[in-house]
Amino acid sequence: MAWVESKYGESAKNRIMDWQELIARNQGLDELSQLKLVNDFFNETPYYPDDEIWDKEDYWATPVEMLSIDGADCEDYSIAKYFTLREMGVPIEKLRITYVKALDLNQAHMVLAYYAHPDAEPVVLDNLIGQIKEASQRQDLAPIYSFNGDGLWLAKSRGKGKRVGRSDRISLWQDLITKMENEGD
Amino acid sequence: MTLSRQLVTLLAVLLLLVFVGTFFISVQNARTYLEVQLESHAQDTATSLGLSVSPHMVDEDLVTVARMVDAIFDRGYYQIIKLEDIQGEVLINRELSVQVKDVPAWFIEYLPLKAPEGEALIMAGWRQAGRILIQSHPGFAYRQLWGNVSEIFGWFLVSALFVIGLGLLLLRVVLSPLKEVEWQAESICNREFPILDKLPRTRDLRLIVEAMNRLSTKLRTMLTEHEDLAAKLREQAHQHPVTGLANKHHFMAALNYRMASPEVCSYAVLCLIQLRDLQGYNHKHGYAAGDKLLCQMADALRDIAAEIPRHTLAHLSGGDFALLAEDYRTAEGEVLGQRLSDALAGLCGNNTLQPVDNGHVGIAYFDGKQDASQLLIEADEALRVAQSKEANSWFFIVPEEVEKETARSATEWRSFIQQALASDRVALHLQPVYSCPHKEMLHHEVLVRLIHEQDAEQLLVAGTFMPMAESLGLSAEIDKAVIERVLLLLAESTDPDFRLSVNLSPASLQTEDFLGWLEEKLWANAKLAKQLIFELPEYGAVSMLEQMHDLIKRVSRFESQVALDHFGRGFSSFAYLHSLKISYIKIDGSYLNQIDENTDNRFFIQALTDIAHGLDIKVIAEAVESEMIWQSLQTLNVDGGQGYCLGRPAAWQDT
Repeated sequence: MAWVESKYGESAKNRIMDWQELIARNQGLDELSQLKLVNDFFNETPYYPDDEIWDKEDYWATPVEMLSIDGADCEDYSIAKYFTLREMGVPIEKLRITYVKALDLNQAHMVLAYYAHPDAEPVVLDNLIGQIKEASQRQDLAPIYSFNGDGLWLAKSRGKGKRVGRSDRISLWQDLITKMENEGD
Repeated sequence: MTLSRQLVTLLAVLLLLVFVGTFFISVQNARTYLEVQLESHAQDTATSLGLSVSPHMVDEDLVTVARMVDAIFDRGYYQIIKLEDIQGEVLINRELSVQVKDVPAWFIEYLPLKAPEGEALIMAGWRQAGRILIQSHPGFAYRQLWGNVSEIFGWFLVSALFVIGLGLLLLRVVLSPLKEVEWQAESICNREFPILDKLPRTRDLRLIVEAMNRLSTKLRTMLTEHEDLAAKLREQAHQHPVTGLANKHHFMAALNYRMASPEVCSYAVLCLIQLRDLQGYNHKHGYAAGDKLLCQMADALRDIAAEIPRHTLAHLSGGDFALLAEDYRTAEGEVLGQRLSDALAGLCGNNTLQPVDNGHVGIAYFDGKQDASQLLIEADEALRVAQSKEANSWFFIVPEEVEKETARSATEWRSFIQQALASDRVALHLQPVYSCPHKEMLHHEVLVRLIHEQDAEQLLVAGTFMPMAESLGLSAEIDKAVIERVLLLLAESTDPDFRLSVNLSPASLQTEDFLGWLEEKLWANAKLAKQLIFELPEYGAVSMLEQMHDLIKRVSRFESQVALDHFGRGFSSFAYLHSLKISYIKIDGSYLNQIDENTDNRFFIQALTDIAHGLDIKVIAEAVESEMIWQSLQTLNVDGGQGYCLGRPAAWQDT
């Protein structure tokens, strides 16, 4: 934490502490309220394309990185929301990270979809529109494909050249926590 | 286990450890890699298939979806492709049983590959329509793993063989000095004392070789000193100081022993040679010249005696010499007389103008009946007769009536011996040999007799017919007949300690097929072979050491033993004993004569025993004819004895 402070300043440290407080305080809440809290919290972070912040084409930042730097692109929002909700107790099978096409912008985009039941119509957590809406009301988005978040993170890590075995999958969240704690040192 | 074998084993174990480690790690790596590949393959296909079929799920066009699934599945790389709706109900299921060709079943059992499932969602727009589960077919992976393992194994085998072969070669080079030291130690045990000239480079080995060389030299010196001492003792007691021939004392002992032992000698010719007026020669030319003349005479006599297989040559005193030619009959005696007379005539001393009358020769014939002194008197008479005749002449008192048996002609002898062998007129008499001092039975010496063709009671002793047989070339036949009968005798006896010594004629050893025949016999009677001892007379052995080595080498394979009898009869050096692996020597009877009184003989026997024991050879005294001799032997470290006093030869049934 001191490291974050020294590197990114006091405001970065405060944002991370706020995030941790959000997770800790809202554990027992109903899922729809949790969705709203988390969506609102992260949508406060301003949007920047990856190449401006990270100097890379497609960089998936961890929530700590995202909050520290106070900037994100669509993947970072979805991932941060996904892991925060997981941490707050939302079951994995209800959350899907979905590749979509933003029709108005004609741009590749990513959102987090929440399925109350497996075959239900999902609600969409997006950074383009702050409000959580039913999928059918999002005519501006065309869904391409969905993944569960853990698998996607795993695949992405593998792509980065990290060795991730099958057994690691279960503890992925744990890894992320560890990673974030290390970042805090 | 030899050192080199231990080192090679160590090398092999190390190699095996390295191999097992490498093998394990590389197989594990290959397995993990293949499993990850199987997983990613399954996952990729699941994702692609999920993406491909998603548009068709919006229309719920299951037929198209099924065909798409089949198109992927029929590629053959998948074990299971399963499509479920979001409730978990199976919509499409394709399965291929796992059949792996070219890979043995045990391999799959011991190194199973997990083929993890790949999973992907099927979307219908925003809605989750279902899920695809894919498991790759592990057959290809197994084949790859199997190929991998076989290849590693093959490489290991080839390289291990190469490394071990190289190691063996290196070890052989490095350890070769040890082999030589081993050979040296073995040789020392075999009474040879070799020195290794080539010192190995390895320091430790070099120290060992040097120490062994010192040991070998020291042992050789010790034994040589011993032998020199014994030779000196013998020289003082038994040899004439000027000519080195046997002295009177020795000659008389030998003559007494032989005249009294029909087994050893049945007939012989005794020649007395006297130089004329040696005293006068000494006065005239000085003692040095006289000694020179004596030595010339001795040399001439040695040359003549060398052609007589069994002889005793002595310088009695002054100008008197004696030559006993055993197994010589009258005709041969006459030839010998002429040769001796020629030798006398040929003597010239240091003056070429020396008068030609150098001396005379008197010859008497021993027919087995006289005693030594009687025979000497007869020879002396003959000498007087010769002296009354012309210069350098010889005279032979031929007995009027030569005994019937010895009077047979050579042709008659041949047919007699051959018939005796053919019609089994061969009798074996056994004489016991006892250990000294406890008088325990060691073995029996086999003495062969031929039965007279007309009178079955009359037995011919070896001394009578053996010389004839040897000159007729029949000795091998007799020895073979005896050995066959001895083997039968041994086979009948159940006592494993019943051991027999058989006399072999030196002539037999020179007979071409004899040793081969003997080896076959021993091979066929391998169990009895270790109860057999072969005795050869010393005079025969020293003249044919090569055949002796051959004999010893062949029979010792069957644990038969070889021994020498009549040892010490000629004054040959002891040095050859080192090289012969014999079990015992029998001291010639002439050394035992008056042993109770004669301290020289006692010293000699004691020294001889010391030498023999140093070489791991036992000493047995023959001709122990009286209790007095037997008692004297007790103090001389002799290992055993045989003689009339201990037990007479007798047919086996009687003993």
